[in-house]
Amino acid sequence: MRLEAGTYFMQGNDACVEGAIAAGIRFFAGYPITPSTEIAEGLAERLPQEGGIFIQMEDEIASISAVIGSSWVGAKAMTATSGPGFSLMQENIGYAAMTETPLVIVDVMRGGPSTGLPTLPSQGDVMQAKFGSHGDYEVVALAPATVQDMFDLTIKAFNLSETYRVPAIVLSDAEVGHMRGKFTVPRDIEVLERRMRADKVWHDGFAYDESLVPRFPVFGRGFRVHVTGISHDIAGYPRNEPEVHEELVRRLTEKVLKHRDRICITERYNEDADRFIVTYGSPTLSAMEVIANNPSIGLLQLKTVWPIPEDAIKDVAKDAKEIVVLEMNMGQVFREVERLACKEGCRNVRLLSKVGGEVHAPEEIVHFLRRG
Amino acid sequence: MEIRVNPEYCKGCRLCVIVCPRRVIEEGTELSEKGYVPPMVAHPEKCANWKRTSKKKAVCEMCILTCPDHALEWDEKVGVQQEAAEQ
Amino acid sequence: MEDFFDLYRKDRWPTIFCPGCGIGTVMNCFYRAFSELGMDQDKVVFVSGVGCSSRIPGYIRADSIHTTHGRALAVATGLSLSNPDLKVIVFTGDGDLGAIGGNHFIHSSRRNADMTVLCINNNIYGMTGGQASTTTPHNAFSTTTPYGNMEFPFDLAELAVTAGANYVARWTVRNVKELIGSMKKALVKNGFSFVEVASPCPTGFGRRNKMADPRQMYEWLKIKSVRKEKSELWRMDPVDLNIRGQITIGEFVDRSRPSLGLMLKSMLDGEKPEDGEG
Repeated sequence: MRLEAGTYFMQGNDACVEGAIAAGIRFFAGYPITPSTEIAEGLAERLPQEGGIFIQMEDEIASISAVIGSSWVGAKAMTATSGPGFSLMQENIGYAAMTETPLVIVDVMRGGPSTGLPTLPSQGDVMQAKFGSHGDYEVVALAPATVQDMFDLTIKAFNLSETYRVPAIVLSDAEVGHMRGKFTVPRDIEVLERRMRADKVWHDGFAYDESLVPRFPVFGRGFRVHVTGISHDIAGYPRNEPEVHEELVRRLTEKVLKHRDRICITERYNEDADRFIVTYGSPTLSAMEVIANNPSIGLLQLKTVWPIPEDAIKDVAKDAKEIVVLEMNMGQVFREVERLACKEGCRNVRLLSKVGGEVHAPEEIVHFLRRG
Repeated sequence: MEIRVNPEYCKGCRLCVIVCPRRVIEEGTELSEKGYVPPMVAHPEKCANWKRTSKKKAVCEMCILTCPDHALEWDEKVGVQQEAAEQ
Repeated sequence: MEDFFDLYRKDRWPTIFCPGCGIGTVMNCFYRAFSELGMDQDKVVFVSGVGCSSRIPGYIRADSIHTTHGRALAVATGLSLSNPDLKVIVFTGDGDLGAIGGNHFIHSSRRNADMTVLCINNNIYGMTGGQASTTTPHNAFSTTTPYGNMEFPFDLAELAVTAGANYVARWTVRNVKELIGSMKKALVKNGFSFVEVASPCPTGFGRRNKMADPRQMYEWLKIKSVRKEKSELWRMDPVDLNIRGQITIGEFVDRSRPSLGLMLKSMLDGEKPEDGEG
């Protein structure tokens, strides 16, 4: 049973577990890696209680592969990892995008590159979430900043991946994953399912309507569908003609970007300010403290990182004299914000980056703002 | 029934020639439209199934099981019936 | 099931396989095994990796998933666990299973995951033009071993036996009747069943090793294979035989250890399975 409506006090990773259960997860395959291990451990205990399946696989590649297999028989499936494991999974993330397999990956980011800082946070995997696999494709990436977000955005990730048949990534970090805090479970939670194929026609398993999302031809119902990572037509057969591939790649991109208004979630505080902080994930809490004491500074919190919320950022840039981006990396979302702000004529975009494994302190942010 | 080579599917590998225990099929000489040289059924009457009338009752299927391109088929109408008709 | 094309996709015929390739023979034997068992075409899922052998599911009229190189067994594990009513059948090759997929091969065997794995071993990477694989014989030539292969090959069947598979057999494409028999046993078995088929690749392997004609490769397979019962005459263990270039054919193991699906069900129901209830 999912948690009853009420208030709870938990670790971020545990709230993620409860969010997955509330969303209807049926399968988890994972591999231990700090700082995401608690998610695997939590689901190892909770999933069998719900009649779901937990399996620890031999490596991260096997984990994401098993999740793909499970999804194709209709199960809501998830895996959890951190940077090094996320790197290993990239080939199959591309495969999931190409075959339009709904699945959720929780990446609890830690200091990188390489083995890096296993127990401390960073936001170094943001660009990788979108560009980690070869080729052109779109994913949905959400960035929780609080324990409440870990619960809410995990459910949202499932909903988005089911609706648009894309990999959905929850870009958490070691700080949010391990912090303990209060969160509320509401009475009504919206849980969405993939649209299933109803008719038995088997030679157009990937046919689509104006939403650009094909109905899901789940295995085991006699659809006799062929799924492949090779470029394919609506029958699912391997094809290599240029026009077929163009249509496929453009549709896979368009089907996400077309629905940006429903996918991009942001929160804006101190609306009328003319100097804005743009951030996501852990630094958000420090930024909140700064703007609470400085009403002339606004905050745009990105809850969706991919696709980048272009409209919300451009809206801020239109009237802002200055934008400061807070990131625990060398500037990843910063590049996008700078690009978009320049289009709106705002050239004063600065980055306050921290890569040592520490979250920005409010004083640091204030000091940086004063310097600007 | 008689074994037949389908030139639409045959790729001229000639594995059927060597697996047939009775040497029914031999190397062909003519180029097919696909650009291969399909073998020819030289001695259909030597086939173990020559007197059979239904493919479901075939006793030897070495060529059919071996042919990687499913280019060999039974022609149930030729063979015993034809012999009977000719008599 | 009356005809081959009841199971296979006639609209995609003829296949992309080279003349003399053994893959088509394996498909024929599979069709026979499948139809003789009376299996339900709508209750099976075919899984494959990447390579020539992995193209088979694209020619079969059933639910099929052609995954990334080496990962077929891991995908198959997720499939079989999440829907135990579906029969999961994997088609793979010596490179896909024995090289990049080696880790998943070991662990799927260890877990005794519910699936039937048909590995078509042509001792080469055929699809990409003829590079050496983990089963290429010692001293053989390939595009990446132009001076002869300095490594020794894997014995994939022995690997599956040691790791814990429930049923393991190996045949060549010459042994069509025995192959059909083994495939039938493998398909009805619970747990991990593995059938390795030694098959010719005249284009990738044969051509560079003085066996360009498919018929020469057929002769080679005959010389190379030793019946398991007779292999004791060589007074060598099967792995050494393999290193010498001979392969033992036959059924290696046929046991009923509890499968992964059974263990999972027992855990969820809170009961321990009986010994031998595999």
